[in-house]
Amino acid sequence: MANSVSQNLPLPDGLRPEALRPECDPTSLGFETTDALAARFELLGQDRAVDAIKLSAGIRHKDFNLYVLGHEGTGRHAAVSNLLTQAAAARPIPCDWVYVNNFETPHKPNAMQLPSGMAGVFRSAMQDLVDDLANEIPALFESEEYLTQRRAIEEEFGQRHEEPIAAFAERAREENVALLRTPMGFMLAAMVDGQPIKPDVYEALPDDQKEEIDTKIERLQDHLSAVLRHGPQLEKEHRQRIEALHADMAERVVSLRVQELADRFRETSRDADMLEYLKQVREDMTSNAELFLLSKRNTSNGPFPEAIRKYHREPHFARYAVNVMVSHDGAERSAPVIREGLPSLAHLTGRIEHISEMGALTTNFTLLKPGALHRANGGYLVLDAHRLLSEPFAWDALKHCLQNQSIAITSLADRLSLASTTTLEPDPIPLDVRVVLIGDRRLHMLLTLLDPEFSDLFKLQADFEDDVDRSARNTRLLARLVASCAAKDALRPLTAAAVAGLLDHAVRLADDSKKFTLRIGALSDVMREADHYATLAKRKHISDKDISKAIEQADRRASRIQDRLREAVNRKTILIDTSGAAVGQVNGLSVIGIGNHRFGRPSRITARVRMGAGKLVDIEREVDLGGPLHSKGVLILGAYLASHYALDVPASLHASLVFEQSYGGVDGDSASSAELYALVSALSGVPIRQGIAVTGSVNQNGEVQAIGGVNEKIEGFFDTCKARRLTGQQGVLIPVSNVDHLMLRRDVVKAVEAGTFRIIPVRTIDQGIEALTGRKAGTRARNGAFPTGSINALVEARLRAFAETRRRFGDRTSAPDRQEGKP
Amino acid sequence: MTPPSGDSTRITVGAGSFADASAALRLIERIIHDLRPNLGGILVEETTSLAVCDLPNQRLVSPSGQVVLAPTRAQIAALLEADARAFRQSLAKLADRAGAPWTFQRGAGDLIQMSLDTGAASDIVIFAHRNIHPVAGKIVLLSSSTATQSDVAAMSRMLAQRTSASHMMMAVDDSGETRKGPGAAHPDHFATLQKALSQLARMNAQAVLVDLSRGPVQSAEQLRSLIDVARCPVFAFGMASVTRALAHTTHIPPSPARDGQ
Repeated sequence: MANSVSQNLPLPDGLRPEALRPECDPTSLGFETTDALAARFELLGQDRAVDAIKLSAGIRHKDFNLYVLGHEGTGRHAAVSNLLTQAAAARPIPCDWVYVNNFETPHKPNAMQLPSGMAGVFRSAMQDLVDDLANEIPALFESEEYLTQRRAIEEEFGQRHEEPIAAFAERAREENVALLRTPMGFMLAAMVDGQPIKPDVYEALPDDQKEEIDTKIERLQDHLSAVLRHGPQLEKEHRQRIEALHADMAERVVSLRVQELADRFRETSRDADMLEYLKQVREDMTSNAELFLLSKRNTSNGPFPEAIRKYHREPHFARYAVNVMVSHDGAERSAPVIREGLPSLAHLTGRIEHISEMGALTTNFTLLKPGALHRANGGYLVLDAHRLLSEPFAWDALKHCLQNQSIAITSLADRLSLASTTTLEPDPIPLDVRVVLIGDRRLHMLLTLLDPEFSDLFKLQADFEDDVDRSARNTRLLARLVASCAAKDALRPLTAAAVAGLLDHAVRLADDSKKFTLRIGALSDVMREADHYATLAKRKHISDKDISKAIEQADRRASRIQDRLREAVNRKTILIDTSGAAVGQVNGLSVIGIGNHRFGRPSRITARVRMGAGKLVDIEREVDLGGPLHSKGVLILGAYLASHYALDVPASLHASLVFEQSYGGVDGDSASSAELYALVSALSGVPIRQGIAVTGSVNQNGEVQAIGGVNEKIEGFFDTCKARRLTGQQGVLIPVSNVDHLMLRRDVVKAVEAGTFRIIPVRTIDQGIEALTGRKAGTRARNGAFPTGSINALVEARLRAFAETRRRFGDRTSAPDRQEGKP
Repeated sequence: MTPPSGDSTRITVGAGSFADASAALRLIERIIHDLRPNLGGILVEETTSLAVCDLPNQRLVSPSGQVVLAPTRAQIAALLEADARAFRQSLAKLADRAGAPWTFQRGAGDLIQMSLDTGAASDIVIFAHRNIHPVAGKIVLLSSSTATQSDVAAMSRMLAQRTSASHMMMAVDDSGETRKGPGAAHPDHFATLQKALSQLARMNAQAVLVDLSRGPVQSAEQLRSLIDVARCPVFAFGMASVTRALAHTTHIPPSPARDGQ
């Protein structure tokens, strides 16, 4: 229990209740329920960001891609979506893109541009072409014209084969030589009596006859050999003639059909690519006419007549397929606005699929699949920045595409050199897209600092505000926005009081009574929960009670740890005094944030002093529980002390400061004024009122500066005091500059109204110490002295006493040496 | 071996090698479903021809035109073994497809004589000859002028249809005139067999059909000349009218799978 001392100065009254919670007046909104308001989504307070989005959407130069930054729930996604959709409506519908076979180098498919909406038409036309030719070409090869020509060629080559053999056979007969067939080939033997000569008969012949026979046989063998060796050449010629016949026959019908196609698309095709492609198709079909005969051979007598069979689906006709990558086929009336929710490498730039054939993976141009960049080409692509950067190689690939202004499809396996199968190198498709990344500020900062290409490619940023001024106009606009959100989510209409309550919550979330938060997502969450309570209560409208309940329940769900801490304080497990006074001890305030929930809690700060060598020990920092900002605050208050008191003597203070019972680490300088008060109290020996908690940082001039979380801090101490009974001598010291941030709970305001609690704004340390001690701080007079008995005088006297004691100690230490004659 | 029924067509293929036999079997395959065949095959080791291999420095010209040393007896024996196996397997496979009974045997001697001997009771004896080149030729019916509408003529037309080949009729008649027929359906007339054979020698024929019972080919010698100039399988009908009396040879039993049929 702290000591009681008499106080000369009464506790200041503090702020008036009106200043603690400037609520919104429902009657000023101009409606009774939101039924009366037209649901119209208008972004509020985001002019800067909206202008940036509009610029990015409209400017035609490349690299003016956009990064949209801001907090979650500020309407970034909805704003981007709406604005881009409006901009897209004014842009022309982009052209279609397809991939077709490159007949010369099939692993490098050709990209072809087509007018918007024509890709599907062209694909169908090519399918029809194949189906038509699959019917017509086989019929052609069964026609009398073809058969006649074919027979003529067979006849000719048959003759050309037979005649040399016949001539040889005749010659052999004339020379009395037999042509014999054996399993291995042909043998020639001289004839004797109409039969081939036997070996013993041959041996019995005179040598000259043998020689004559041998010479004749050899000559005829060479002749026969020449005839047979000529066979393959004839066969080749025969083949070539047949192929030429096939090509000639096929060419007529193929040319006719392909020309029809070319004429059909000539007017719609913008460049020579399609005509060139059709020329290649014609040549390929002509030289591969047998493909069309294959289908005919494989015909089964199924239920469907051949005339309607889909030949183009057969694998060997895949070479004539048209792979539609992007098609804008009539349903769309504007440039695309594409949002890719999973921006992996494959989803962004497309992928090359493979199929398994005979245990190996193969691919072809029909297995190219488009990505988001293809679909967004000519329009806009919206991506979540964090997700994009989380996907391997996706960010790299996107930059590469934007820099080169083309889309190159590569696989992840290819990038990692893991691919060990056939792959493709498709033509890159020219890219004209505006990319919008949506992310947080930290990510934007990191990208700007660490990725030199980022700033080149994303020249624009749309920085979404977190809050907006609380003007009358904005109040009405925010009310309208709330009504629109309710309508969009199909909620019950809100009463004016409910809207007012929601706007008050918006002020609270902004942490500033002059501002509304623009985190509409958070307000929408409250509305939806309130709608649920209204439903349970069978109300037609959402009332202010439902809004209050939603807010309270949300706090309650998140306040388990807060309640446990409060219980620890109530049970005096954590020591906090809320009455009496104590020297060198003050109640500081801190905010703890867990998820989206923040709450304040008091902490006892103590200071102890003695003579020393001018050291101010921050115990938190000594044990690495103090963060840099906290250490900075302690160093500042130490500098204040050193520069305000006993300037004519060496610093001879040894002081220590600590947050009692704090084991989790502290940071921030919002308690630096509290620490200074504790130190001043310890030096002066004047006790501090324990019913007053303190928050505020201090500078070297002794000015008390604004801090964050002032509402939570006040409410935290209020709850502690209320749990023990409000005495009317309790309250919180806050910086003057935080008055505009007050939006306290209604129970706190009621307590202030009742005079049982007070909020005391202070501008300087002197003001604060007066409120805490009830004694004048004192101002230095012209003679350099503080008024006697003032806090400052007591502090200065103590410091001088330390210095004097130290000097005397120094003299005493050195004096015995002098008496003994030692130098 | 299953005894031939009255409705089935007995076909015997005589060949000196598998290369010759396979050309004939390919043709049979085209018409096998139009007949109820009873197939027989005989591989003849032509002793006269093969004796030539023993001549000193005897060479052989392969089908591709290479001149190589003639095989030794042992090599020939091995080749004939392999050819016999291949001939038998192909014959069995072909017969299986048609559900037809089949037999196979080997012999040594003169191909024509042995084929005639073996096929004496057959409806058709095919004297096999390999295709020297891959260009398919015509189906030729060689007949006497009076026999152009016979069953053999019908068979030749059917064979031409099944092989998508041109059909040609060569008729040898006594008129003394050699003239071309007025159209494809009419035969070309030849005054003598020799003239017809001379024409046939320069023709690309895929198969030649001849009715031995009606001429113009009626003796073994004429048959031999025909086979020499045709240089393709010769389908011979009317075995009974061939002048030489034939002796039966020993039949080698068919493959075990066919026992009991």
